[in-house]
Amino acid sequence: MPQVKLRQSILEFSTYPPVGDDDWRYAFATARVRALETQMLPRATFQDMANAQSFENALDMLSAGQYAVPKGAAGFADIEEVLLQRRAEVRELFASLMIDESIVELFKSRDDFANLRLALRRALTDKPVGADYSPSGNVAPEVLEQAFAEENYAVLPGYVRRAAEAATINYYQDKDVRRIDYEIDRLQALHNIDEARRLGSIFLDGLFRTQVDLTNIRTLLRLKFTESEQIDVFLDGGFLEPAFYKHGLDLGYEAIGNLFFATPYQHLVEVGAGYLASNKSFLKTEGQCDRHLIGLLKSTAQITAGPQPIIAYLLMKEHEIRTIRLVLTAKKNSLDTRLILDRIA
Amino acid sequence: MLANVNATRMELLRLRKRVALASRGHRLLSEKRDEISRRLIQIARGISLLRKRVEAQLLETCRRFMMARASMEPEHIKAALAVPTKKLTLTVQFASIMNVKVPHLLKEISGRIICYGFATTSGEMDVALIALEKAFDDLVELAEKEKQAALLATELRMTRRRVNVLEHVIIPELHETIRFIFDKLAEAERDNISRLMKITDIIRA
Amino acid sequence: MSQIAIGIAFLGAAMAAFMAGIGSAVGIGIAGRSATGVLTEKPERYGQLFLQVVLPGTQGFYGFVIAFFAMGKISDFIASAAGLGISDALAVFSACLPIAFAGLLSAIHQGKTCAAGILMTAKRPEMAVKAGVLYAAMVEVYAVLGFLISLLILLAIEVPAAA
Repeated sequence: MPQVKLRQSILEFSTYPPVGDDDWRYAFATARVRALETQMLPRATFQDMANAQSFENALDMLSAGQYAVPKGAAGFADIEEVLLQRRAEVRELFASLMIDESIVELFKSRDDFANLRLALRRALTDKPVGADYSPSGNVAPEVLEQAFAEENYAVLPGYVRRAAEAATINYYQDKDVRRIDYEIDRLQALHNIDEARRLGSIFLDGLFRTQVDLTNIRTLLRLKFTESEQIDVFLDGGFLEPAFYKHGLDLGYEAIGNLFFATPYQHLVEVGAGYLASNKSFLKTEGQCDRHLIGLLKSTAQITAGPQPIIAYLLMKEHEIRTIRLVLTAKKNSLDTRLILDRIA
Repeated sequence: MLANVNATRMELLRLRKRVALASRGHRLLSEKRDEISRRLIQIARGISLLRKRVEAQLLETCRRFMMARASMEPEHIKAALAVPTKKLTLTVQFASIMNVKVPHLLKEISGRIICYGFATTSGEMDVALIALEKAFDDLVELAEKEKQAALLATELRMTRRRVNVLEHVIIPELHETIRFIFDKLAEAERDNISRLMKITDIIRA
Repeated sequence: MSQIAIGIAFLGAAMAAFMAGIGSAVGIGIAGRSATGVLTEKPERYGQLFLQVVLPGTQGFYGFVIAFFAMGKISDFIASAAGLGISDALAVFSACLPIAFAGLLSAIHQGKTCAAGILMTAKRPEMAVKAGVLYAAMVEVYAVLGFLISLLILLAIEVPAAA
């Protein structure tokens, strides 16, 4: 691996952080993913679904592709089932195409952290540790359940153990379960960025830091909207410092866009804050954040061979599955078409 | 009924007292009926407004919650909502409207409704939960008012039946009995007089 | 006629063949892996992709042809009255260099260009010839130039009449 400069300042790129270099070991995998990308649903399909007359019509539009729901399946649970199955398949494909095992582990750790949140919440509030943990993390659900039942964290991987210990300490500061989440969120972001640096991947570093920034922007707007007094919840490690967002808490919705002047996020913050002020809803903020992230993932098109397009495919596919669920849920509950279009914009 | 009436002056006096009592009761009950129906209309008018508001709020909450749920991964929803922090205690006290025992709900809310971190959850969930929190005050009030209205309506029906029974059955019957006794007594009186006249005639003859 | 001169001349011929050959092998290897990736999902694209996979192979042929010519020259020299002098040997050696290096580097880069073209063909089959093959052919130009110069130099070397 060439020695690359990983700490990047936000002024060194205009919209998306750099994606890094080709890695010719991935020529086959990249080509396969490129071919698969052609089967992804175009944006127009989602717009058509949103504009469809009824839920059934929207569902019919999917019936030709891989998201076809078996005939006679009436309930929404069947659709959820199909979507979850597709997600599992995509993750499996990702694991099989990825030559670097540690990148697969890194993306599996997302489920570990989700499981950890659930387990810690239950354990610390003296509820039974219970079952129904996600099986797709690096730690098998049984191992996790056993570790929490016996309070023996030694069997867990280092990052899970450290997060569990830190979150426990944080919880006992004032016995607020939200503190568990704050601490795990913080450590998860740091873990991701550290791993990206250890792997020497410019792309992953930029991706995770962008994700941190987008999360912080959403958090900023949510704190403003709920008039919450919590201010130490911004994540470290993004391109912008937590202090930057804290400053934003004192500004009005109109002024907040200007705070992000000369960052890639100015437009999305302006649009999101404006929509929040007028419609009391985060739909557009979230739509814009998704859009920014997808834009970053799409910029991997310049890579002819490398892990970047494969990671991008995984994340885009997961996003596609979420969008399908979103549109179908909205249609099922006959929500306003305008709202759906605002969200998937 | 008329058959086994003791057509005596005692009975007549007793019945007259009963009529007076019944008509006083009738007056009081009809006043109560009017008052209850006034109160009921008042409450019902409040309810329909409140109900519309609560329904709109709940629909909105539900809609946003659906959107939030759909845009998050299932495992994150599970983790976010596993242990709620909001605690709600409801206590029932009884108040009295027109001597009807109606419940009065007292709620005690502690903790914050948003019980999760920010990174893996959707902002729509915040909006939904805060809207739910606001809807809760109205929801409890609505429950209280609806129960009150139901209890008052039962009471109103009962009172109305009592008024009707007094007005159309008991009072007319009492009047009839009084008239019957009066007639009987007058008959006895005439009987007695004519008998006395006869005796006078016999003595004179 | 020295043994060293013969060695130098044959080294030139060998370099033309093996360096251009290595370039082609690496180039086809890269393009081939990309093509198999696309074919896994879209087997019907086989015909369109074939040209792009074999395009980096031309450099190997150029090297092969130059090596053949060079060997012809060397045997002509050996058969001549004067034999193969050290300056003749160096001339043959340098005649082989353009195709050796141009072939090696252009084939690898052509392979990468073809791989990119193949990925594009997966998404936009109608552009396969227009962009995919044509851009790779641009790289080919410089291999052809190297080949031509090698050939011209070889032809310019005059062999004295046989004894």
